[in-house]
Amino acid sequence: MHVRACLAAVATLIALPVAAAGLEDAQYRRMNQDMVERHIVPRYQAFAAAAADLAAAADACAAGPDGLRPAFDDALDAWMAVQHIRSGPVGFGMRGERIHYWPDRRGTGGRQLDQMLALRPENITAESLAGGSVALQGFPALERLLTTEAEDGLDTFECGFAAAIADNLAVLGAELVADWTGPDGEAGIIATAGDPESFYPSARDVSADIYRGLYEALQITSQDRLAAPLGSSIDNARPRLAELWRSGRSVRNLTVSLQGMVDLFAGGDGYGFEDALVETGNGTLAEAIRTKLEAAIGIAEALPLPLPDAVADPEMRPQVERLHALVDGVREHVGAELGGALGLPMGFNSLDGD
Amino acid sequence: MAEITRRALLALLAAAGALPAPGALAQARGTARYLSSVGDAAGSHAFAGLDGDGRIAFRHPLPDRGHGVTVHPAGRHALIVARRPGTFLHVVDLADGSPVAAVTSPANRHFYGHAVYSADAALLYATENAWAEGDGVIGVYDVAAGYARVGEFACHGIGPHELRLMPDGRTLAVAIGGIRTHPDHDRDPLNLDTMQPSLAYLDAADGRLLHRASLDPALFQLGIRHLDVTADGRVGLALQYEGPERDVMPVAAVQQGDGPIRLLEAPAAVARRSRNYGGSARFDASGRVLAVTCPRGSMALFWDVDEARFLGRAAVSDGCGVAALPGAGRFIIASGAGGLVLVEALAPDGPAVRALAGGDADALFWDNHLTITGT
Repeated sequence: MHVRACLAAVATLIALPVAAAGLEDAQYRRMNQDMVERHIVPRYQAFAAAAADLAAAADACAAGPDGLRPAFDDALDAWMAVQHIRSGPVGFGMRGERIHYWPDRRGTGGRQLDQMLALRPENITAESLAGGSVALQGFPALERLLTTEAEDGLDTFECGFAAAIADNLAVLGAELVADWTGPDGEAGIIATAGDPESFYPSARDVSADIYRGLYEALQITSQDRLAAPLGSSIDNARPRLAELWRSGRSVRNLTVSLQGMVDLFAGGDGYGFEDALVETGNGTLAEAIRTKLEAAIGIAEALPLPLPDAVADPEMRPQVERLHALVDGVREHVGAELGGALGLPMGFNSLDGD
Repeated sequence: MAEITRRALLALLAAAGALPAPGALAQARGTARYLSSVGDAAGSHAFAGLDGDGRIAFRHPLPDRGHGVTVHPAGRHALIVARRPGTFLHVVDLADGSPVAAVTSPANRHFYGHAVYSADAALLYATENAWAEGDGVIGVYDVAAGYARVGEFACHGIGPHELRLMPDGRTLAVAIGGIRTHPDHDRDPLNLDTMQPSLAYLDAADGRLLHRASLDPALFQLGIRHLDVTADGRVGLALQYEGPERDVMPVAAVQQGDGPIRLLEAPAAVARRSRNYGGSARFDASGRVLAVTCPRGSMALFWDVDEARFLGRAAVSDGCGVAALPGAGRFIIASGAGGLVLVEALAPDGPAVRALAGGDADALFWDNHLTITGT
């Protein structure tokens, strides 16, 4: 056997998968603590408060939907600011879907709402909604009541329905805060990650879950919030695929959502993915992610037209395309580079082990 | 060019910490003990065999994700089946991972991911999708004829998945998931409103339906996808609920003989973190402890089946594949995030976890399922 042949054989053997680079356990812990205390918990608390205000405002619905709209906007802003957190209590009992069932790719919500408005069942409450379809108990359903249905004013049934949705959102907000901060809450479970009684095998698993949520949020923002309404060309634009287009919320949702992702990335101005990247010599990647996110937010904030109009407007469409390219670039960075740089696996059994 | 002896090469490899041993070099490492489909950071997939210390014994490249692994009863070969809706089934030599046979499912069938040998190892049975009809079938292969497909029989249900030979050597236990899929729609379920999962017992000789155990009709969306069988014919099931995730459902059950399917419960705080998804089921060597992995909750759950008593949980990052080690309550669990862990489910303070450190296991992302040789 020749040495060269042998060494070639050895070389192919050594081309093995290597575990991704990782952080020290203490770094994951520090990052988790800041993400939880400076970002996640305050944002769920803000959502719970805004949803409670919305529920209070909905009681005055009969006086006219106008009074409800600011409370609706505030609560929706608060949700958009934390929607990218997709692990932990928001996953229990489909809370995330119940609060904001979107994208609704099959138009389930609209169809079910039509049925509901035709049947006009009596005594709709938060409890009765909670046991039914996820598409009828959150922001998309409330949005339609406050826009299309409100054109000729809201009748008693519609007001009761809106109030039940608002109550349901308030209940969900309070549950999220309790499940994060209460006894045996998620914050404590995360702080003790790696202990036998914690549900997290290690601090790295907590960071990885949050990381996967960020990636999914970027995917939804790129694909559903932007690529879908853009369509393949200006002639194929699909404005009605824009998120909550009836209330003109599409761009606002996008902006608040991206701002939330920047804050998560920065660990709520503590120690976040961004800081860990810089510390591990991946400052260029951190810079690219932040720069693109901020550029995307800048474009969205400056967009003079609502998104459904902008995608079909020859002047404005290139701005939306640029916005999409930036968000998709961040998605690519986060999916292909950030996880590897920080030792955070995407995992495949949890996605679909079959 | 200088010659190098085989002995010198082995020394060189050992000194360099060089890893997997192909072909004639296999003796440099231990014999393959832990078998599974694995992925790596580059996104490629392989059928890997690691020795008892977690060092790579062989690595057989796969075109895509593999799924169930079955060891030939004589112990020299093992096969891996493509994850659904895949069409490959590779048989390798356990000594070095070299190919023994490569089977492709017929044009109008695809594999569901699991296969099992007949008691005399003359035949191989694989769950398959007759997708044009939407029915599940059991493909039958002649092992001595290079795994030529020699026939099939109906498996009396849609979406068969894992199957096992019962201790009588004549009966196949088949987990019928109940979900219809079509390769044109990848893995999308097409019949969630009309699912009929069950555990079917078929005569291995002719496919005759001998007995069927079903859940309460109210639980029709509780899919039965994976199973394990003890020496005395007890069947453990891993369940996957396809209904709304708001419902908190059991992920494990047991059944025996013509008895009912008994659901195994976990405390509510644990159950809701399972996300209603049981990925794999394995009995321990005693046949008394059942492990069901919950990759979506990064945990494995354990029950004393004799007493239907929950023993506790073990945290394993994205853990799905599980195999039984010798000894009561002892398991090895594979992590999709990398690594193998040993679990003592009967430890006095509840299941105890220890990593199998020092080998190559940490560098691999372990896919479902894990199979162990020689026990």
